[in-house]
Amino acid sequence: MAGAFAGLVVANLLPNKTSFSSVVLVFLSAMLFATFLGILIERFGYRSLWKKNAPRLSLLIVAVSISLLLENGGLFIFGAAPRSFPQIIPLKNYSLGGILFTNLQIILILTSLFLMGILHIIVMRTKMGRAMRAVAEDSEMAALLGIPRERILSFTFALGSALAGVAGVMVALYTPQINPLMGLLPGLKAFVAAVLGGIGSIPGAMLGGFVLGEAETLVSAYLSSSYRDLLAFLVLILILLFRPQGLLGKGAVEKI
Amino acid sequence: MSKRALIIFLLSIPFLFILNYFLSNSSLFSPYALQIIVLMGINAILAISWDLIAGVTGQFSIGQAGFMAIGAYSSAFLTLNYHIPLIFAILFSAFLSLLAGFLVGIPSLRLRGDYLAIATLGFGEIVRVAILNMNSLGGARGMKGIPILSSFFSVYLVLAISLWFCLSLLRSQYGRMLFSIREDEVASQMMGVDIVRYKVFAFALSACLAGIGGALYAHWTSFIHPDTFTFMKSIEIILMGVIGGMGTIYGAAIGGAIVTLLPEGLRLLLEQNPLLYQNKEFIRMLFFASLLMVFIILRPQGIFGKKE
Amino acid sequence: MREAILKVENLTVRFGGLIALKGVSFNVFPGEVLGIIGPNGAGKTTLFNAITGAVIPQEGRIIFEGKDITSLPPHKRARLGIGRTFQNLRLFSRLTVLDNVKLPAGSPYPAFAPPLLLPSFRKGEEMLNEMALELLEKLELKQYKDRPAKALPYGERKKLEIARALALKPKLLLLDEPAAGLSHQEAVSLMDELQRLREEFNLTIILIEHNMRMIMGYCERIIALNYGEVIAEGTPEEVANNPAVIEAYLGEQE
Repeated sequence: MAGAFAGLVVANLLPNKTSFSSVVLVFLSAMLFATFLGILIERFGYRSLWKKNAPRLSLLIVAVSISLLLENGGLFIFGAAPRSFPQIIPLKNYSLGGILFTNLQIILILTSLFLMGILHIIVMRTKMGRAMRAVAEDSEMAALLGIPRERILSFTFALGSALAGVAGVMVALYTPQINPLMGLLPGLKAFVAAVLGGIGSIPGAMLGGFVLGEAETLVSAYLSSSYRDLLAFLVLILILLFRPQGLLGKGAVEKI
Repeated sequence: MSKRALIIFLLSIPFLFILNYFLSNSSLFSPYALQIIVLMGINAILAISWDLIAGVTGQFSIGQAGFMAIGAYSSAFLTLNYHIPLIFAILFSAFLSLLAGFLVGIPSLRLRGDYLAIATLGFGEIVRVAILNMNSLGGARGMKGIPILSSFFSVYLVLAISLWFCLSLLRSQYGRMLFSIREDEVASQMMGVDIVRYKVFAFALSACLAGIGGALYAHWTSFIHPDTFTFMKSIEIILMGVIGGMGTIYGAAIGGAIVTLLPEGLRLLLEQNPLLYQNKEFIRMLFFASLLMVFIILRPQGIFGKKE
Repeated sequence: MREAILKVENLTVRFGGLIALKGVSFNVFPGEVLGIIGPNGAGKTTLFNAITGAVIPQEGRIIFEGKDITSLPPHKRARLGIGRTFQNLRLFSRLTVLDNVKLPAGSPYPAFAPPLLLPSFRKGEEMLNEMALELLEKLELKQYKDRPAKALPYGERKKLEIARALALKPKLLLLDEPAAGLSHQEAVSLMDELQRLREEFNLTIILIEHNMRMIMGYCERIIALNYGEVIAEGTPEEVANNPAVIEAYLGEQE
């Protein structure tokens, strides 16, 4: 949501909206703003709890509170009425073998794949990524080995927020109306998608996202769109009951 | 519970009855204030229901709004369509939400912390969307014209009974068992506690209480709508429990009272400033969210909880 | 030939690809003190977990007092009389010392008794109180009775773990490194107390320990594990001189 609105503000300021550089600028500014917010949130919301080794419950409550703050802050600043997002990528329709699609759909899919690829490389092939995985697996040991946990955490938050910001703009381009509450449901669905794919596995999260999105569209088309949102929760509950480690996740064993 | 506590409890009943007579008399007592006071009682009951499952048993549920909705709609349906007395409607909705509590409790056994939270949130949403699509329950129009059968007396009587029941349970071997589940499930099992049975028991009881709260709510505000029972409502209830002090039960009740009063105080403040007043809904949520964060970060034990 | 109180038959426990226990078999006889030794990762705690039900074996059986408990849930095994302490202490931190010890005794009254203030509630609580205070007294913890468990010093918390396990009125007590972290004097006094408790309550004790002096001094029989398999079984002297055991411990401290 924050990303989408940042993008909106920037897009409205740009004189030549549809040039390639404009598009890049809009995406970039969304990403930067979201990243900035993410770092702020980590610093002021989570850090003190994480340092105190607070129970997961507290972190969850803080997460919910922050999301409420952001949403209601957005409502306060922008009002509840939906705003339309400028079409900085003019639509062109194509047809291939009877299937209709637009250039926007292609661009969005390719951008997603590109970003996910970059994320995968960062997490798997860089020093930072290794540090992230180390902290995730055994945070105390990582600290003992000299890994600066705080910086890693900030980086991880920044990364996640950046992606979310870009996603915001992507949603804004695709359904050209944005409002401050637009992130609520997708946020929950993102969690469901991550669980579906297996927490801790990036390819899993991508897979989960695709599967959930496909399922939603199919349900919308063949059943009824009012039940679409329900699907996400139903999927979640089923997954948690029957395959809690998700599609690609590794099951964690608690040492007693 | 001591004999003295019993006496206080029993004496409070006639006291509440007499108080009810004076408070309900609109020439003696502001109806607006009565409105707030009764809502305080209802919220206290809801807060207790959450504290029981989350503060005491350690199962973080964000689904109270779902159970509340089940209680509200089922009782309202009976009184509106079949004109049965409130007490039977409440018993029925208590039973229904108890059942729902079982149904949610059993699968939740395998879910850990954050997953349980999202699953219960999912449950709440599923209930809400299901009701939204049921025309017999008013659907998107909501249910209006529910007879106002709740009163100060009925609400506070239920509150008193709930407090008595829960506090007695807590100070008994059953309370110790529930607390042990919160502290360490594995160790608890090894010490002979059937955690399956008691987790489900806690869920069912919590759901039942929330359902009763929902029924009382429906018969006080006369109009219910699925939008009343969103996950925001569950968060509000959680706020009550957190502020009051998780695991104490009486803290939750007080938390319920405080959180009911806050928006009123806020409203008085906002009415001074027209700009802020326009956005009062958002400011209210902003305030709640900030309060929740402040408490969780700076004073997680709430007002009455013990410092970790 | 005495009838074994616990029979472990061909126990195999796997965690994914890791084999924690492989074909472990042994008997435990009533009243004895059996020691389990082995390098870290040998599977000792996993063995305890399997016996108490925290972990379900892929193969094998566990027979307690003639009953097959292999698929019995943990709380039922506790009720049958198997008590345990944990290597890393799993006390109920925010409960008082007294409550920690009262809990394992089960529910002497139904759930509706407390709100209705029935006599069974009053009597039940009195009985629990008496039982718990007695146990605390025996382990010299009575002065801490109303303090939260986490407020106790380390040595006292170890004793509390034992007191709590005893509240189950167990016939078999599994102690996972009870002397770890204790000074020599503390460990000795703990083991002496355990001897007294064993006689008083007619306990059978299985002990996991790294402290060799402790094992040698107090155990009648020892089983040595390495990489999930039993490599030796016998009296302390026999096991200490067993070449396989010596090799397993080569390079280990103490």
